[in-house]
Amino acid sequence: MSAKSRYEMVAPEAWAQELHALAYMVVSRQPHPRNPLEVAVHLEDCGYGGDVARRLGFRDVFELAEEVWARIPLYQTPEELTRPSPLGWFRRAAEQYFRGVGYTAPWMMSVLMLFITRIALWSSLSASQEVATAVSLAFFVATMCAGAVSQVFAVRALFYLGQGNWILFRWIATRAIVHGSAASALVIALVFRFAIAPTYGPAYGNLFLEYALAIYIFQIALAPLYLLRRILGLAMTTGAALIITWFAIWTIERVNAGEYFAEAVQQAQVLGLLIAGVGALIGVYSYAVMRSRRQLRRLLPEELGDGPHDRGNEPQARARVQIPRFWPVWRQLWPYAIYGTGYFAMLFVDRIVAGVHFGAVQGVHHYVYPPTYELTTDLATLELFPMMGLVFYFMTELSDRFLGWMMKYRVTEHRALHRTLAAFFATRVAVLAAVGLLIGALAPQVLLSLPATLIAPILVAGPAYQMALHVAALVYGILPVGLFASQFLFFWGVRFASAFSVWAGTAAGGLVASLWVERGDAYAVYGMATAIGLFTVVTVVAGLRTAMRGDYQLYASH
Amino acid sequence: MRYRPWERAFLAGVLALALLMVMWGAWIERGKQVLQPLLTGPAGAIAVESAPMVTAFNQPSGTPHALQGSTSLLLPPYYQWEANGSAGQKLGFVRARGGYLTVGVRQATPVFRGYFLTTRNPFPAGWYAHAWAVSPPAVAQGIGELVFAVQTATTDQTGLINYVFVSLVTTRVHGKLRSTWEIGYAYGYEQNAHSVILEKFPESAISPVNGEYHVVIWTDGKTSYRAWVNGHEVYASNRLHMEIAPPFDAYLEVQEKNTAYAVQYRQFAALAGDGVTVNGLPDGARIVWRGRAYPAHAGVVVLPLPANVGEESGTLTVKTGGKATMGQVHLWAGETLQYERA
Repeated sequence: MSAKSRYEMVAPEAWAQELHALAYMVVSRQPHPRNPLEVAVHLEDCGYGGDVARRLGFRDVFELAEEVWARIPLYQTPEELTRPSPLGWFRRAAEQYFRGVGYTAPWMMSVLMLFITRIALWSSLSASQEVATAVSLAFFVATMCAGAVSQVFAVRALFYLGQGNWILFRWIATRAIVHGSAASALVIALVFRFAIAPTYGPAYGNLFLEYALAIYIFQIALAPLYLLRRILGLAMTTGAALIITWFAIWTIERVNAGEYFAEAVQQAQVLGLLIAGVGALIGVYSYAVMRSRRQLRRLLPEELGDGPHDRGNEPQARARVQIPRFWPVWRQLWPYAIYGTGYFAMLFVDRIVAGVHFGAVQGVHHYVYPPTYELTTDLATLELFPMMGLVFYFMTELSDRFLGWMMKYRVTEHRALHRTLAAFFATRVAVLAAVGLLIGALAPQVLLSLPATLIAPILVAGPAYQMALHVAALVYGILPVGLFASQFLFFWGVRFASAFSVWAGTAAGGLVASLWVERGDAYAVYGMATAIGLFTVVTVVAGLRTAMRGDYQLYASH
Repeated sequence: MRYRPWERAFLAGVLALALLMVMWGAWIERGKQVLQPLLTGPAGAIAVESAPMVTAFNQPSGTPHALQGSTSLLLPPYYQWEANGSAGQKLGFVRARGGYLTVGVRQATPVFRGYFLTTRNPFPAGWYAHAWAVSPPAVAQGIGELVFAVQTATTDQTGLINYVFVSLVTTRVHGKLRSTWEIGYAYGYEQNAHSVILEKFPESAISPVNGEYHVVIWTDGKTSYRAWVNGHEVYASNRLHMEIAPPFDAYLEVQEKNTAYAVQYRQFAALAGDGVTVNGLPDGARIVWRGRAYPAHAGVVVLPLPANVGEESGTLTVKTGGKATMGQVHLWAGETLQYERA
């Protein structure tokens, strides 16, 4: 006599069907789960956590997963033959690399336009000190807000996109972006009330508010396009903003007999950012609605529901599309928001210290846009164009190879898997660091040979700023190592290490910049070196530790 | 997909709070604009709502220091100005002492060299630029020039240094001192600029007042250009082709050739236009300015003060409801005043 499971002993006959339904659900989400642990991850994700498992008579979700695991083969189809890719290794690598470089399209287009026309997106080489200060402050605040919202949205939306679940993609888009944007509006208003209005004049305040909102909307509109890997969409959105700005300026020039005023340039820039940003948001959301409706039409009415955890003790409908509650999701996501804000705080801290010092030089006790320091550090960031392709390539490589590793190594072969992971991580970090330092060492010579009209302030300002350019080039060469390490950590579900590293970097960088800036604002670059250096070291160490824990970490995070 | 009630409450609350913060910030900004009243009394107070751009060099200056990424120097506490010039930081100098700004070149040079203090906040076309300069010193040899210029503020973007100028050129011809006023404009790129002299007359044609010349320049940057010295219109034309792109910066400048030279300025002002506007007056109110009464129309009185005159002092009286507020005030053309009830 075969031993019956406890479930089969206690459960009524009708409930046995539920195990089959769950097995079907797991297979529909992942056609070939490799072990009961993966089944448990899917069950928990669909609301069948510890509480529901106990209510069904199991000790925990893992015991429920064992039962479901036993029924999985009934619903599997034979695995498709894996065909070798028609593309060779080099071509695939090149494709991934240039795709990564393609993500910098908005940035490249705006830099190119800035050098050609002196006006691009929110930047203008002809802006007065007052305008540049207000726009710069708006950019800092808007980018830190957009960084937080984009991270929260991206982490969860990527998870749903991985499952091809457009319904929940749409759900997280409306939650992360709408709630996040409301919170960002409050942050911008608070900065305006407590930092801008009491310190700067009314003209500053209006400009700050206009630019902060326009820049935020434009940046947040790019987030879904990055996520969906729509490089053409990114280029089109940026192109639309640039074209609208220039069309507005041309119209103003025509109306005003060949003259335009600085105020007109600002209005044209805000107009371009807003129209392109809102247009892209509407476009992406419409696309998500279309895809999600198509998915909804394929589902039966009883397959939709709010999930067992939403209904208390009421009879449950079998659920495959379960709309989660936002609060439990947010409890998982908030460290990503902290990271998204902190990452940009880390990048801006030395600039803010340099600006406050530049203000003090002019007899005021607040931030004033420091044009030469900004130009110096902005020039150094150009070397990130080739580096971002490498980061993207290595992350794609990790995703591709991860599945192979998980199928190759058994559950009992942790050590071999961990060694493979650590070797992968360490070699990629080493390659990125070597390439970054090489580019960082060579970049200043190339940058300083750009047309004198572009770099004149640096040449005029003397050796301190040229030293700053050399340091900044090396530091931005190292930044992709930290970026790769933090992405690696997120891949394994490690949430706090990256968030800690960016804020530790911001604090240390701010302190070092404040101490050095007395010698001149060019020396604030040491703050940048401290901030990015600390971020990189912490994320690399945490990345190595995570690699040594490998799959344990993945299961623990889910 | 629908928002849950707490989500709606969150969104409404956060957006309402954001709106409240913006309104609070705007209120604080508005509050900062209120300056100390010019006059107070039983009939209410008069405060300056928008002040003109005036710099009196009545505070001693500190050591000039570099401005980031530029050869220009800042002259504390005159942070709205910067110093520069072809004489460079070794030969050129600026300092404020005893109520005057001195701009000079320390050593003689075989070719023209200059130094200047220029505004960092440009002003629009059609404004009146005023400079009060001390009658410049004589030269033993060479040429020394006091130059007051209004130049396009777009030089950084275009490379063009188009400007208009009024200068007092001092030199010796056959051993005799000769000082000449020259009024003109210049156009072109820095190294190849051409200057056009529109008017020339001897210094003796206009006498200094208290040892000073009050020079005023007005231009639209295109076809019209007017200049006054001590109230005399010394040039006026509206048929020029100057192409000076606004906005403009003012230059308080010295030029020399074969002589060390320095000139002094007491004050600078850039004024928007004629008259002083007093807003917010109650019905039936009257303003008495320098002995003449001006009734309020729709709460506004515009006191006469020509922009080329610039400043005037006198007794101002506000009369309303049988009460009067009276006092000595110093007014600038283009200024806007606000009446506040007692």
